[in-house]
Amino acid sequence: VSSASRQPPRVLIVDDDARVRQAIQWALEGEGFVVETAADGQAALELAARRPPDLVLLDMTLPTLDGYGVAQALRRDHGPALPILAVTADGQAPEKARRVGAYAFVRKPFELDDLLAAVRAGLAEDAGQETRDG
Amino acid sequence: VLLTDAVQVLAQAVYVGLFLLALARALRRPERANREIALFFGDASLIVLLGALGSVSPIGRLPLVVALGGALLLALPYLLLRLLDAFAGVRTAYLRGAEVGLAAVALGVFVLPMPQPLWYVVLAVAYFVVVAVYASVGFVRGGRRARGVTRRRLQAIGLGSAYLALDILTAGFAATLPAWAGVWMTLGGLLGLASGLSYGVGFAPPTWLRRAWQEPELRSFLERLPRLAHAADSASVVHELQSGAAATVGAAAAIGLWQEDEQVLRFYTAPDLRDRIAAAFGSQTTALGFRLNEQRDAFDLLPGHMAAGQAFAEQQPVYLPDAPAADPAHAAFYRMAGSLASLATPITAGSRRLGVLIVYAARAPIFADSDLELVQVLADQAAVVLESRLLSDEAARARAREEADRLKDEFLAAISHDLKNPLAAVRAVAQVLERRLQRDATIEPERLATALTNITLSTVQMASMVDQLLDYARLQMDRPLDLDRQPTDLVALARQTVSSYAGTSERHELRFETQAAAITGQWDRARLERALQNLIGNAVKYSPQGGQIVVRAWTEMEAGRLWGLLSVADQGLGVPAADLPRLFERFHRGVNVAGRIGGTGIGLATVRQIVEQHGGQVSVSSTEGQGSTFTVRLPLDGQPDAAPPPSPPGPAAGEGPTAGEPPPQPAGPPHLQPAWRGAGA
Repeated sequence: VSSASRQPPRVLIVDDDARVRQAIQWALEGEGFVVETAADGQAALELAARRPPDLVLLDMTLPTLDGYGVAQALRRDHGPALPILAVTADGQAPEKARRVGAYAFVRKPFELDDLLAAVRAGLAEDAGQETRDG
Repeated sequence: VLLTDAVQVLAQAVYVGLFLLALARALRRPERANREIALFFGDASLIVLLGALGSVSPIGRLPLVVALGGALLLALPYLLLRLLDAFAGVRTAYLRGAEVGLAAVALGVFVLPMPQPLWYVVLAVAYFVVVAVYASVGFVRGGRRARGVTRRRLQAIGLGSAYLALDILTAGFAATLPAWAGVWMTLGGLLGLASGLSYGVGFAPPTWLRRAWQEPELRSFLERLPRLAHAADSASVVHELQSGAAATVGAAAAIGLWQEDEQVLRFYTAPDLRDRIAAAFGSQTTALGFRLNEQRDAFDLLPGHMAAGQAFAEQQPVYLPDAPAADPAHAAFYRMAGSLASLATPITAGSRRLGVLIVYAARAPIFADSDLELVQVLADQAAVVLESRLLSDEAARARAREEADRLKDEFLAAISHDLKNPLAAVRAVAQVLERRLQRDATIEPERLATALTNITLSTVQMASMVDQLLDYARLQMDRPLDLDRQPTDLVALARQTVSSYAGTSERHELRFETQAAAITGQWDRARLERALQNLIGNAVKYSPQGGQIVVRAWTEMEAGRLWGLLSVADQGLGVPAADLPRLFERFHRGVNVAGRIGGTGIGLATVRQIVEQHGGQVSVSSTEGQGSTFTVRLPLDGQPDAAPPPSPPGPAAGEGPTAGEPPPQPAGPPHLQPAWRGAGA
């Protein structure tokens, strides 16, 4: 385990609903993560370009550029290893999550514990990969 | 002399021949009209036979025989009058009068000495002329009213009477101007021959002649058929079939369409017939097999009732030459509809029962044996057209149903998706607070305040969504909204709604324009706001290239009422002209956006529902590629009860705008205007 992993993980929340965004932000900040938020795909890509996140919490239904478009661009810019946690409100969550290459999905309205567990799992997997790669 | 004799013998032979034909027919089909025709030709034949007897045998010159010939001649116009009664109807008083007159003049023939006194001759000739002319004119007038074969037949009878009158006139000339007797006799013979032939053609047209007369009408009917299957609606197909059948047979025609779901035959008729049935039969209406629904231009008949229902139930032609006598329970209807003689044939394609074709006339002799075949041919042709029409209608309905189902699913998916966001926010905020309390038992007051505000706002959002869902359910069931009317200012509402949209899109310039300080009416504020949100949301959505979106509010006086108006104009994709009439129907979307821009097809239907429940109207003017303007008109004088029914849009058929009522919308769909008359089942 490298010393770099001591840094608090950076999580990017992409959701067009301001109140959902804020609730998740509070929860993650309460767990010690560094959180950035974006209301649409374009803003998310700009933020990610400036400072690459360790994990992206991605809502699938976004205005203008939708979840698939955002996921595709993130993979293009940050490689296949970037963990994406899909957050959706519709019934086809598993299929959608698979299509964007998300490691897991969370359905709205979610249990906070489930969301946090999924985020930790994603970061651990990421860390594991880094360890293996390095 | 030889020519004169030949012509006279020929005329006599024609009358005798026609008598034998008519007699054979009357024996085969002893209907009243056939008996009357046989009687008429029998009388004419006896007259010519007695005349012939007089020239070859002394028996024919016996006073009694001569008197008998005179009496038979005087009876001829009376028999013609009876025929007119059978064909077109004659007042009973006139018939009785003619009988009394006939008895009087015939008595004179037998009792007065020869030569008869002048007063008697004048009286007898006057009687003859008056009755003959009355009957002839009656036939000619009947012919004017009739069409097709019937018109020609009645005209031929009128012509025959004219020849007969001239014939009698020449006999008079021959008696008064003996020098020219030969010429008069020849002319008289020719006229007699012509009248005999005309009567024959009119009263008992041979089948080949009927066919020849029917041919042009039948041909034009058959030529129109292929185009019929593509007519705009089923009602106009039925209308065309009815008028084609009527023209071909030379009588009135009606088609009853079988309604599989309701198990009734539906006749599209003159709007007043339904009401006349209701008025004439009252509580008996149902027992007699009528079903009167809300549709004012149609009435329904149960299978088994009357000629039409019977033909349909038994799947074979039914001919009632004297319908009131054969079916006394419905006698009043037969008289009301002018269908005393009815010929009904089922319209059936293979095993599929489509309806019934009924050809009817006020009088039985309009029909001949060959008409049965003809009506069967017409019914078969109608079956082909109606079946193809039904099949294409069914296919279109199935497509529309599938599309509606798909859009309904999309709508439900969209609304449940939208509900989950505020739900997620509430639950997440609550759990974050809960977590915090468990850990260190303190929450910063600002954060707590924000959290509580978020929860409140989320529940407000959810409540509004649930309201929309409930309104949507009402729309689905065509149930009225429960309006919460309160003083509402259109200007303030529009200004606030427009500002709430400002900043949601960078490409659009959203503007509100008004000269009015306030336009206040008794309206449901929340619903109007939703209607305006829908219109503005559409304007944004359907102008993906951006541009100006201008919302205006103003007032107008129209039809004696003050209206508050709101319009939303965009510079977007616009609506194709073909989609305009159906734009406000639920799940209907323009062909230029369906499948390309997401949407549920429910927004404009909701707008229409809300506006119409307020007693107002919503309309659209649009040019594809240049943008659309939606205009909402709301009555300002607050007459909640003046609200028109929520759907269908447009003025009800047959009702013009009346004072105090909003004028009809220009953008309404073309309405079915039943322009034809006729019923008779």
